Amino acid sequence: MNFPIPPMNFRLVLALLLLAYVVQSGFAQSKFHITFRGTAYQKAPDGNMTPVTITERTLLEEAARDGGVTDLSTLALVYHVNGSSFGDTIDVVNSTNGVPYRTFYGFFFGQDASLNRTAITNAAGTDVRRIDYIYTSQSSHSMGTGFVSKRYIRDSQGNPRATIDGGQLQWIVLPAKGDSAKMCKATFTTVRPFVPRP
Amino acid sequence: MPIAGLGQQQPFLFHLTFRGTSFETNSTGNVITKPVTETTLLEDVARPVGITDISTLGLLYHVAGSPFGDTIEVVNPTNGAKLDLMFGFYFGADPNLRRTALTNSTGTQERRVDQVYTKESIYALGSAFVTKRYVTDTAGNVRATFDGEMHYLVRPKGDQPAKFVVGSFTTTRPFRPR
Repeated sequence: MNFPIPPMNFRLVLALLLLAYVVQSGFAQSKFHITFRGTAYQKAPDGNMTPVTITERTLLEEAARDGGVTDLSTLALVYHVNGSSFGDTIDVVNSTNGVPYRTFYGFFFGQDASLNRTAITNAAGTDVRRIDYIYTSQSSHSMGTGFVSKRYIRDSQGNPRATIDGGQLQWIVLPAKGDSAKMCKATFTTVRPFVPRP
Repeated sequence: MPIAGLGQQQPFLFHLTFRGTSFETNSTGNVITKPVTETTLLEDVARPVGITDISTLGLLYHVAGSPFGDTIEVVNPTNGAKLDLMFGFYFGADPNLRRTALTNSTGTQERRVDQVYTKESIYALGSAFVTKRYVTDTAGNVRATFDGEMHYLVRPKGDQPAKFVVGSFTTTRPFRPR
C-alpha cells in the first residue's frame, strides 16, 4: 500500500509563522513551570554518536545564549496551554511578568478530523490523552510527536488543579550553529502554575 | 544514507518483540490501560478476519519494506510472504520535509525519528525513535539490530473506541523460512 506524501497544508505554514509570534497575555492557569528530561543524540567531532542531556536548564541556557541574556533567573520555561491558536506550546518567558520570549515547541494537530486524528477524553472530562505533532522554528513540517496526558483534579480545598505530562517526546533538530543534526527524546511534567512576581 | 555492512546478502526480515500499553476509554467512560505485545498485535489483525490460530501468522521487521522506508508486517511464518502491513516508518530522512537521520561516521549506528503510518490513514498517526545498529562479529558477519520507541493512534472502528499505544520494539533474530 502506498502512502503519498500529504500535500503541504497551509495551516502548517501558518504554524511556523505563529511560532515566531506566540505572544499571548494573561497568566491565570494557562502557563505552568515544567521539568524537562531528555537526551539528544548528535555526532561528535570524532564521528561517534554522543548523547547529550537536555533539561529545562539547558533549554533556558540555549535561549539565553541565543538572545544574549546573561542572567538565567530572568527567564522561565513554561508549558503554555493554548500558547498558539494551533495548540499548546513550550515557551521561554520573562520570569517576572510572563511575557513570552521564545517558543521552543508547538504541540499541534493532535485532534484534527481532516488529518484523521483524535484525542481521547474520559467521560468526566478530567483525563485527556493525545498525540500531538511537534513543531519547531526550523520547519513548517512536524519534526516529531509527543504523547501528552492532561489531568484536571480538585485539591483538598476544592481548587481546580491541572497537571500535564509529556510522556514520550521524540523529535529532530536540524543541523545548526556548527552542530550536527540531533535526534532527541524526552519527557516533561508541569510542576506548578506560573505566577507573575508582584 | 546507506549503512555500511548492510548489503544485498544481509537479512532484511527480522523477528521482533513488542512491549507497550494502550490507552482507551471503557464503557463507563474511564481511561483504562491494556498491555500490548506482538501477540496482541497479531490477535487484533486475526480477529476481524476470523483467524483463531495466530501461529499461522508472524510479525516481522522488514528493512526497506516499502519504497518509503522500513515496515513491520504480518507475514506467513513459513515463507515470510507479506500478508498485511502493521506499521510504516516513513519520511524520517526526507529533505523535502526538512527531516534528517543521524548516522555515525563508521556507518554502524543510525538514529532517526520516523513518522508512523498505518492502514487507517494517509496521514501519520504517530512517530518512532528508531535506532539501528550493525555489529561485525569475530567471524566477520554483520549482525543488525533495530529497536524503536513509538506511539501511535488507533482510530475508532465500529464499537471500538480510539486508542493510543505507547510501546517499544526490538528485533531478536533474522527470519529464516521453514
